[in-house]
Amino acid sequence: MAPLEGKPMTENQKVRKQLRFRIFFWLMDICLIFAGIGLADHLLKVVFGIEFDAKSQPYFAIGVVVITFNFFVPIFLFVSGFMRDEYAELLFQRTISKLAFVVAIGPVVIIISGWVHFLITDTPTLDGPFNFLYSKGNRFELLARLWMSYMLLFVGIFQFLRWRDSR
Amino acid sequence: VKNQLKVLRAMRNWSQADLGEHLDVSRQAVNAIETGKYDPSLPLAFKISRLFGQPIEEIFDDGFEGGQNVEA
Repeated sequence: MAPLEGKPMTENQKVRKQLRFRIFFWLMDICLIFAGIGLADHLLKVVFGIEFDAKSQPYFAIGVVVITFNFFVPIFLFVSGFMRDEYAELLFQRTISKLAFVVAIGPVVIIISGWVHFLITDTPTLDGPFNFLYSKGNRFELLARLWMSYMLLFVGIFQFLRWRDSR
Repeated sequence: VKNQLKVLRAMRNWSQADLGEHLDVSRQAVNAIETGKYDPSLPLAFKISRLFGQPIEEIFDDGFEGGQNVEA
């Protein structure tokens, strides 16, 4: 049988390729952990009204790491096709198809939730996790939060599909 | 598609990571193939076939036998 690739890989290239595949899954795991930390912080603030002092050094330091793994690392993982083997690529494609569904349906659900909330409580805003959508001032914050939401959904759906496959 | 990958790997005393290294895929990919959650691409199936020195149809079983689907 003829070899699949024209040029066989050196041992060093093979090791680097394996390392890239592993790092992709490791980074996904770390992103999921920090997504959990970010979500816990958000829920503490929204549900229980517990807010940490953003100016305190430990909170700020943790916050920088959390934001890095909530914003920038998922984007890197999103675009870094060279770090995915064919199984990870398949998982990625399955994730994207689910994410596209959320992108299409999500805003409609939020809008309808707003209407239902208004009809029930007679207040024009959704309190809690969606209240940022009604802020008229800071469009950057709105964009950043939506961006982060989609990135975290990407990580969450990917890890869920991976977990389901491993069972 | 069922497959004999786990058996063939065990015969060589390889871990999933070892087999992944031989096939240039991740350990997760080997696990997903073994558990039948993911069917490998044709190039990867050929690679597996070549690695174990067996025809693809002896490693992978799509349930068809003599032109009839035995699963049906």
